[in-house]
Amino acid sequence: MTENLKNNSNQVSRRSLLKKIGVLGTTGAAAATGVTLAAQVVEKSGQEFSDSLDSFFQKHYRRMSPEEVQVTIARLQRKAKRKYNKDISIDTAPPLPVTLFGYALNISKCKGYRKCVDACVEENNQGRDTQIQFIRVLEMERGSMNLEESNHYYDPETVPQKGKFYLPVQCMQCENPPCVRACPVKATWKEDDGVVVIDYDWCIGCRYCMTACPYWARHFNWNEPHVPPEELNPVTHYLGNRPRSKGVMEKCMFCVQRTRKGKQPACMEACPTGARIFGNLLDPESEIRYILENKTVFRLKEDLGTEPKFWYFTD
Amino acid sequence: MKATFSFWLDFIREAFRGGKLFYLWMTLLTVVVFLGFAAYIRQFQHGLIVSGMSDQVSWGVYISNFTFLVGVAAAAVMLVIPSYIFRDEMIKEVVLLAEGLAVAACIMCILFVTVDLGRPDRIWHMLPFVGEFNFPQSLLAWDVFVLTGYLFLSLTIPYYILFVRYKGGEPKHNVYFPGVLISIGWAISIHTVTAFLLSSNVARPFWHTAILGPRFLASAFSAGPAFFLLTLKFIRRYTDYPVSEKIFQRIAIIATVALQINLFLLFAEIFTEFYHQTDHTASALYLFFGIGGKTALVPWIWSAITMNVVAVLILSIEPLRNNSRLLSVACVLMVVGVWIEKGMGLIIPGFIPTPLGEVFEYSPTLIEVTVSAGIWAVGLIIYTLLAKAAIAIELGKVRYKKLP
Amino acid sequence: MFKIRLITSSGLLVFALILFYLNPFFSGQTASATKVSDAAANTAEDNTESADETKIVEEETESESDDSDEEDGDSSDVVFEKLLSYEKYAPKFSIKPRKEAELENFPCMDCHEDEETNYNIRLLEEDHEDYKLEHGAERFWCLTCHQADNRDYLRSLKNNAIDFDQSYRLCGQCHFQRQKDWFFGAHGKRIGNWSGERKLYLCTECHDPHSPSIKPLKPNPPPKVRKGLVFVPNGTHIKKKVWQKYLMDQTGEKHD
Repeated sequence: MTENLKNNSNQVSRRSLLKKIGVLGTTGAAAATGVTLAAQVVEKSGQEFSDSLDSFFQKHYRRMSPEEVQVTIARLQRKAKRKYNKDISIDTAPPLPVTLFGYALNISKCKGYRKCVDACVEENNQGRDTQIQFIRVLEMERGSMNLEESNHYYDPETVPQKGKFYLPVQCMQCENPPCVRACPVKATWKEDDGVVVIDYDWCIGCRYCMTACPYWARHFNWNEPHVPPEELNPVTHYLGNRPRSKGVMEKCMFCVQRTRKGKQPACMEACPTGARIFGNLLDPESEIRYILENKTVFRLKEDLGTEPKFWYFTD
Repeated sequence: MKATFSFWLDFIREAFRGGKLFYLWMTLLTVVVFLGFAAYIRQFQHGLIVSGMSDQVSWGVYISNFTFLVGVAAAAVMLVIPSYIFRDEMIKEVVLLAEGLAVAACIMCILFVTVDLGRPDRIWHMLPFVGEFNFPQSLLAWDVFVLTGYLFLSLTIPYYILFVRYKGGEPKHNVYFPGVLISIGWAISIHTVTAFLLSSNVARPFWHTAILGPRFLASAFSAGPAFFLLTLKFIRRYTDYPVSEKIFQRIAIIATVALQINLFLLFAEIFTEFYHQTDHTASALYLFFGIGGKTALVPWIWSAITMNVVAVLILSIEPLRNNSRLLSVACVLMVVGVWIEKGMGLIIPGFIPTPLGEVFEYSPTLIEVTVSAGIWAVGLIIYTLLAKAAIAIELGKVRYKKLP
Repeated sequence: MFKIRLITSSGLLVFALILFYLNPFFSGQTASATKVSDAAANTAEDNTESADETKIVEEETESESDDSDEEDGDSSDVVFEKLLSYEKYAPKFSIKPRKEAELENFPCMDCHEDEETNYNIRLLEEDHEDYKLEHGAERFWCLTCHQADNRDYLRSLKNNAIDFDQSYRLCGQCHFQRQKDWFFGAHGKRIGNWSGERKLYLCTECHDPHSPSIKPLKPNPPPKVRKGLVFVPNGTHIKKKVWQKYLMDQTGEKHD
C-alpha cells in the first residue's frame, strides 16, 4: 500500500514538472496529489476502522453464510498481518465424515519430559506471555491416583524420578461436555468429530466454562497474547490455532488444523516415547480401537459422567 | 402523560434535594465511583491481568460480591411476604424502601458480573435473537434472565404505588397484588438460580451439594434484612420518615430465624464434609484449616463464623435483641459475617484445590478492590436517591398539582 | 421307489465320507505348495544368497503366506503361527528404513569380509569397544543376534537371517507381547499421520539394541504462573502411605 502511494505521488509530481502547464496547473496537480494521498491514507485507516467495526458486529461462526465466512477470514488475515506482519492462512475444514476422534495415552510410557507441552504451544500459537499451556503433566506419587498429591511444577535434573509416574492432562473432549452447557452464549460447542471447539470471536469471557470443567482444560487470556512473529504458526484453522485476543477462552482442540487433514496432533508427533495414540474411534482397524479393546484403560473422573474421549492405559 | 412527566421531574428533584450532610455523603460516594471507574478503565485496557485471578482461581471478589448481593436483593421480598400476605401494616411502611434496596442490589449484581467479563464489548451476544442466548441449558443465562426480570419487577411495583400516591390516590390492591405474588416467587428464584449456578458444577465438589440452595436462601434472609435494618436506622436518624421500634423488632426476628437456620445448614455441611473425609473434602479442609501451609482463607472463615455466632447469640436472647445499640452491632456482625461466608468463604475455596489438585491461592489486587468499592458506591447512590424520593412522596411532601 | 431313494442317499453318504477323509490330505498338499512358492518369492525379494548357510526363516515364510490363511483358518498350525507372530493380522504397515540411512558402519561386511570369525565369547577390546551390552543380563553376546557368517544380517534364535530393517522380528522373539502391541499400534511410534499410510519407527529407532532402556532426560521447563502473579511453590500435600502409617503407629510416631 505504502509503495503504491509513493509511486503514485511520484508519477503525478513528475508529470506536473515535465509538462509545466503554468502555476495554476501545478497547484492543481499538487492538490490532486494531496487529495490522492489523503484519500489513500483515509482509505487505509478507514480499512482499519471498518475492520474493527465489522469485528464488533461479527456473527457467530455457525450462523455465517459461506460468503460471510470468506469475508471474515479475509478480515482476520488483515488483522493478523497488522499485528504480526505475517500472512496466515485460516482454514475452515469441516469434520471428516464417519470420524470420531479419540486419544489414548500410555502412562507406563510417559516419562514426564514435557515435550508435548512445548510442541503444543508452538503449534497452537498460545500467547508466549500469557503462559497458557493446554497440557499439564502431573508428577504423581506411585501407589496413589490422588491428583491432590500431584506436582505440577516438578523440575528435577532428570525424569523419570524414582517413585513417581507421570500423568499428562489436557482437554478430554468429553462426549457430554459440562463446559458447552455452561456457556451462556453458545460460543463453545462439540463438533461432529467429537472435538469441543470455541469461536474466539464470540466468547464474552465470563469464564463459567472454566468453572464447569472438571479437567482444568480451559484457559483464559488474562492479557493480550503475543507471539513473536517468527514463531507464529501461519497455518491455522478458524476453530483451531488462529491468533486469539485478550479476554477470551481457549483450549486444546485436538489440533483440528492438523488432524482434519489426517496429520497427527502436535503433542503426539512430539512425544519421544510414543506414549500418545490418536485416532478414529469409529474405525475398528484403528490403533485406538485396538487399545480400547485389548488394553486395560481408565479415564479421569469417569464418575462425573462427562464421558471423556481421552483414555489412559498401561502396558 | 403530563402526570408521568411531572412525577419524574418531582422524583428527580426530590432525590437530589438535601442538606449539607446529604451532599457530603453523595460527594464521597461519587469520588469512590470515579476511583472505581478509573480502575475499571485500567482493567479494560490491560485485561483482567490487573486482577488477582488466574486460571487456577478464575472467579474472585467480583463474583463473591455478586453472590452476596443477589442475596440482599432477594431478601427484600422476605419483608414483602408478611406485609402483603398477612396484611402486616407495620412492615408495609418500609417495604417500598426494601424494594429500593432490591433495585440497587440488582444493579450492583449486574455491574459485578459485567466487570468480571473478559469481553464486555461483546455483552450483546447474550441478547436473545440478536445474539445467541444459551437458554435454558446455561445456568448463567438463567441467572441473567431472572436478575433482569427481578429488576423489572422491583422497579414497576414501587413505581405504581408511588405514582398513585403521588396523584393523591390509594394504590389498588388488585392491581399490585398479582405483581407482588410473582415477585415473591421470583425473589426466591434469583437466589436459587445463583445457588444452582454454583452447585451444578460437578467439577467443583465444594459447591456440588444440594444444601447450597437452602443455605443461600437462609443466609440471604439473614444478611439482607440485617443490612436493611441498618439502613432504616440511618433513615430514621436523618429523615422525618417515621420508623417505629416494632418494625426493627419484626425485621430482627426475621433475620434471627434465618441466621439460626443458616448456621444449622452450615453445621450440616461441615459435618458431612468432615465425618468421613473424602478427596472432595480438600476445599473445606483448605478453607477451615489450610493445606500444605497455605492458609489465606483460614482467618477469614473463622472470623466469619465467630461473627455469626456472636450475632445469633445477641439476637436470640430477647433482652439483648431489644437493646437498640446491641441490635445494630449484631446486624453489622451478621452482614460482614455472611458477606465473608458467602463470598470469600464460598466462591474462592470452590477453586482451591483446582480440579487437578493444585493448591493455588488468590488475593484481590488493589484494582479489584477499587472497582468493587466503586460498584458498592454506585449501589449506595442509587439506594440513597430512590429512598429519598420515595420517602418524600410517601410523606406527602410532593403531590401532583394539576395546573389550572 | 423307496429302495431307489435309499440307494441314492446311502451312495451320497459314502461319497461325502470319502470326501471327508480325503480333505486333510488335500489341504495339506495345498499348504505345502504355498510354502514352497512363497519361499521362492521370499528368496527373490530379500535377495538372500542361498549359497551360504543362511536358511530362510521359517516363521517369516509363514507369516508372509497371506493367501493361504483364509482356507485353513482353524487348523492348529495357524494358532501356533499366531502365537509366533501377529504380523499378518495387524493393519498394514511399512517401516522407516534405518540400515542404509542411520547405521554408520553398514554394510558391515565391508570390514568383516576379510576377517576370521572368532566364536569365543569375550568383551570386545579393539573395535566396537564403545558398545556396552546392557541387554539380556549377560545372557547375550554379539553373535546371539548378529549373523556370524554374514554380518549384514541379524540372526534369529534358530540361526535364520533377519534383515536389519526387520529387526522387530528379532526383538519379538523375546518381547512378543511388546511386538504384538507394536504391530497393532499400542507400542512404538507412527510417523506423521493418524490416517492413511501407516509408517512405523523400528524398535531400534528409540531403543539402542545394546542398551535398550530409555535414558532419563532433563524435562522441559515447568509451567509458569500467569504474568503478573508471583510463583508460590505448589502446596502439594503428600499423604503418608498405608504401610508408612502402620509402621508409624507401631513406633508411636505421629502421622497426619
